[in-house]
Amino acid sequence: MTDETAERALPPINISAFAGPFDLLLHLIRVNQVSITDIPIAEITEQYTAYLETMRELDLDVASEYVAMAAELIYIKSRMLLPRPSGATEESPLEDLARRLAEYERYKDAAETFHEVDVLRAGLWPRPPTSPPPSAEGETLEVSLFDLIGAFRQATERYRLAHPAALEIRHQRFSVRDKMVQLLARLDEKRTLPLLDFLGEMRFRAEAVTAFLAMLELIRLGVARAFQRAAFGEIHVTRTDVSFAAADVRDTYR
Amino acid sequence: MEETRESTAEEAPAAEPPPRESNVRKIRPALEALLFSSSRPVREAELAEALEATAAAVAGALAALAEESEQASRGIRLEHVAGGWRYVTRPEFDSLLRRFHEVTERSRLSLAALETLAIIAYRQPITLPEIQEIRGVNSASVLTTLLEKKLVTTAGRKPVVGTPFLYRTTRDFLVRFGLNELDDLPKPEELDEDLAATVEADVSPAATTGETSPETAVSDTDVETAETADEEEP
Repeated sequence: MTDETAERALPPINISAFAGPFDLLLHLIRVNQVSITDIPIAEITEQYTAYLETMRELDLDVASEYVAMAAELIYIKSRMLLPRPSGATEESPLEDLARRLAEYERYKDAAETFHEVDVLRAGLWPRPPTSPPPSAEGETLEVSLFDLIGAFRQATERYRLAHPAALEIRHQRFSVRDKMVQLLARLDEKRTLPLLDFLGEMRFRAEAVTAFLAMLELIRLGVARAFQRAAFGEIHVTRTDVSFAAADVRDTYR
Repeated sequence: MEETRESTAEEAPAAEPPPRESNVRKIRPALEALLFSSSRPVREAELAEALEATAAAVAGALAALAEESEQASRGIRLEHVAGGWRYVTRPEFDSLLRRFHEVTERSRLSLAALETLAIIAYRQPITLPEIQEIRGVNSASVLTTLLEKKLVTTAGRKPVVGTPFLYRTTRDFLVRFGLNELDDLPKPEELDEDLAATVEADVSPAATTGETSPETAVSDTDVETAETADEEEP
């Protein structure tokens, strides 16, 4: 490999087009028409660091992973200059890199196939989801813990906007037990209610936190269930058939 | 206890559910209505339940609807995806529909998101550190995107130091990429071993509840017999 090759391999490229250091490395390997199992480490390292240099000159943010990879390449290069201890059978750093690159490449190829399929299938229009009448149990989506936390964040945000901090003058204590009783009462009255409505009734942040914990506890006990009717839809809390009354709350959580 | 058992035995003939509809032609319009009104793929078992029909009749009617929808004169076709069935428009009308519904932008998955998704698809259940090890780059925000799009979900925690979350792909993933099950993922030979392990772990009862593909010889025969019977009736 000559200097000329190295320069030819450095066309102005859009660095953001790379998904990570492995992607850039694979690109360099392809441009140099070498095999993953037979990487000319000196040339590739040189070109790789030259790319990072160009990125810096262009004032692009070089993600730390790219820098870490440069360091690793230089380390591998230095290791190769040293004689290997005789009888050493462990994988050389270069072999290790080749193995990781090959594995990454398999998923990169799979990702390309995924992309092609995704583009093709985006042209198929399914029926848009319709919202069933509120009373119908209908088709519901599983609500994950992340959705619940997301809804809670929304509620606290609403609270924050509605109650400027300066108005928070009293310190009050709230108990999960009381909030469980309160939520149970609401559920017995309405069976299903939007989570945000319930959290919106709380006047203090600590109170909303307590109410949220109470809801999680009721879900854990199987007394309530959370669901949404569409992706990003509103989260509803509903009462299950498990029998559980306010008195049970007081008995269980003394 | 004894009494209850006796009374049940006595009432058994009366309480027995009515025989399930097995006539393909009779259930076909209702089946079409069910599928037309559903945006998500509906499983054959669900359809049979709703129509109070036999699995074979549903499979036969689906095969008939699918065959009919393959005709060039139709604008929609019946699709078998994620273990269920749904109607979708034909690809050649995409630009027409986009113009009509004024859809200009479509949410695309980034290269990083697709890579992460591919890794999760083939190696599930897998943790974030394992994904990052393969990609060589921080993947937390990409993973969040995939979670928000409901293409992946959590699958418990790995019993190692820090008990990180495990992630797996969802049914929405199968729908989006037109797969019936994870087994349908394109298989690079190198991935075979991982995939075998994945598929074994993922065989859930729901995915295997007696869904007969209408392509099977059995249901084909049923279609014919049922239709002949129908013709002879009047």
